[in-house]
Amino acid sequence: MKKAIFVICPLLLLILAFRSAETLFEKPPHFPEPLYAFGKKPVNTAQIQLGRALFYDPVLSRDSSQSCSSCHSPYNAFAHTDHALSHGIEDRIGTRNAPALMNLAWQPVFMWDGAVNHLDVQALAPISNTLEMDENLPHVLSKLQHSTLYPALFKRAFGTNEITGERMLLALAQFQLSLVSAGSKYDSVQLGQSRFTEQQQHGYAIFKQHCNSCHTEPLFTNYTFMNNGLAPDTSLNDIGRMHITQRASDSLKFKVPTLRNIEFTYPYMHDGRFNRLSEVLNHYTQGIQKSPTLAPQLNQLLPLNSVDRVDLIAFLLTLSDRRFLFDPSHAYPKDLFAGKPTH
Amino acid sequence: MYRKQPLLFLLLIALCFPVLGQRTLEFKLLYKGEEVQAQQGFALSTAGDSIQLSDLRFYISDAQFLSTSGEKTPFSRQHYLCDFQQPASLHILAPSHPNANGGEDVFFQIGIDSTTNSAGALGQDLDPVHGMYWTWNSGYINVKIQGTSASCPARNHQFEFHLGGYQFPNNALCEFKQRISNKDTLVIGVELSRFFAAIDLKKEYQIISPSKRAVELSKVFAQCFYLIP
Repeated sequence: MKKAIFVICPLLLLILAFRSAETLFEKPPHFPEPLYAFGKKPVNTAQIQLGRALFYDPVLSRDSSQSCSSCHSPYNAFAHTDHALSHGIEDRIGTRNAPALMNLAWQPVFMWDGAVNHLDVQALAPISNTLEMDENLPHVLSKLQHSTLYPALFKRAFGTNEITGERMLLALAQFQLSLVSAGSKYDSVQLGQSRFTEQQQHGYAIFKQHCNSCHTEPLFTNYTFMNNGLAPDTSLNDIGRMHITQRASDSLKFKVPTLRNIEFTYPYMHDGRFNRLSEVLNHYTQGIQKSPTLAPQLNQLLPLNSVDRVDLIAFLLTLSDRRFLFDPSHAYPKDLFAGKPTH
Repeated sequence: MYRKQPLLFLLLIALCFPVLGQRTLEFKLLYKGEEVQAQQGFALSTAGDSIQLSDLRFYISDAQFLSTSGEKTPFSRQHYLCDFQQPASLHILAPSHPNANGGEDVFFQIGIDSTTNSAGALGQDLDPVHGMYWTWNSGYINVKIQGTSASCPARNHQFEFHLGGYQFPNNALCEFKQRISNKDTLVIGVELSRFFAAIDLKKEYQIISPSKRAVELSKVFAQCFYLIP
């Protein structure tokens, strides 16, 4: 009997551990399999909480003024609405629009130009960018090691209070992996729990005809890089993907962004040049600039009349997921920080 | 005593075996055959100039012994960061080899392979905290050579060569393979004069991203390695 207990108890604990790990990251039933290697890096509640603290803590910036959330606000689906271009410490202005953060477990590469090849290492880019956080990893780790908060959080997350670059990056990635948005009206329609209005249904039909080849359902991006015909901003002269690949065929190509929560993620485009969805549609119906790398889908202006435009926007608004925006598990960890400086 | 303490006796035996059979792989920095320290300036005789190294670091990966029969004996770790500012990092514990009496090669890569480059956050020698990871464009810096030279027209006369890249056509990973003798310590010389002979610091002093030239200079750097008899 005793032997049986000794065998069964550990087994139960093991099963419970796996169950809790599964529930921390649930694949929405209508989503494809995620790309992130959860098998090698299982989801862990304490690591998510550590990552959440780091995400909201300005300690990552050189002068402790800017956190990840400074440009990735939860109430804007982790985008930044006040500025066309992201801004960093000492009021420095960056060169690109801070993108929304969601469903990152499905994303193969990161940044507008695909410069970052894995979610784990993405945070290195804004931390070290002189126009953003202007900090370096060894100094960040030193600040965390001397903080009153983090040694204990690292111990809870990783078993010891050793603070390394690997652990810090993994924790930040774990928090960002937890940012899954799949609770919009569109999602409930896909799951048979709701129905589009006639207007939304018409907008959906237009979307599938004209937009879905790049902003592909259900993630509303195909994760490729495209030139969507924007006239280059001569104050930035941003060549996009070509900056990374050095191939002329990638000139002016940028990551196709997701359209989920687009209601909240303005301004739009890599340089934040459009503030309203109507301006975006004006671009696709009137403003596309021809160039050698233009996406072939955009060789013709989109033939949308005024009703089509209104209905398309009505459909796009069904991608709003307010539950995601106000999910308390994604919010600023005020209980953890309790209004005190962490370092 | 050993009858009374059989476990202690076995432990002593077990501890002795790895030491007796252990080999080390050691890297030495050389300039024209003379050993130099990274912090020590050394003369470039051709230009009447001098070079002061501040950093010389490189990754060694997939190190192994290869027997003539095709048997592979890998080192205990897949990646090692060798840093001439950290002398301990230049001595790598190598595995013993049962077939060391006959022909045997030592093999390693200089740099980091594409799979590791795409594996996300990694620890120990691969932790980005070591400054061997590009933050703006994912990937490891395989080789970092930095310093100053009076002939270098850059700011503060500084030169920096950050050689890396893992994606076609700019894959900078290089290989080293050489027949070895059955010695306990294998010493690999890194003859830097070969590297500086390939560049003119008056004209070329900065490579900080993957490129065709980074691949070319990576190959030149790999040619600096040779087994010291």
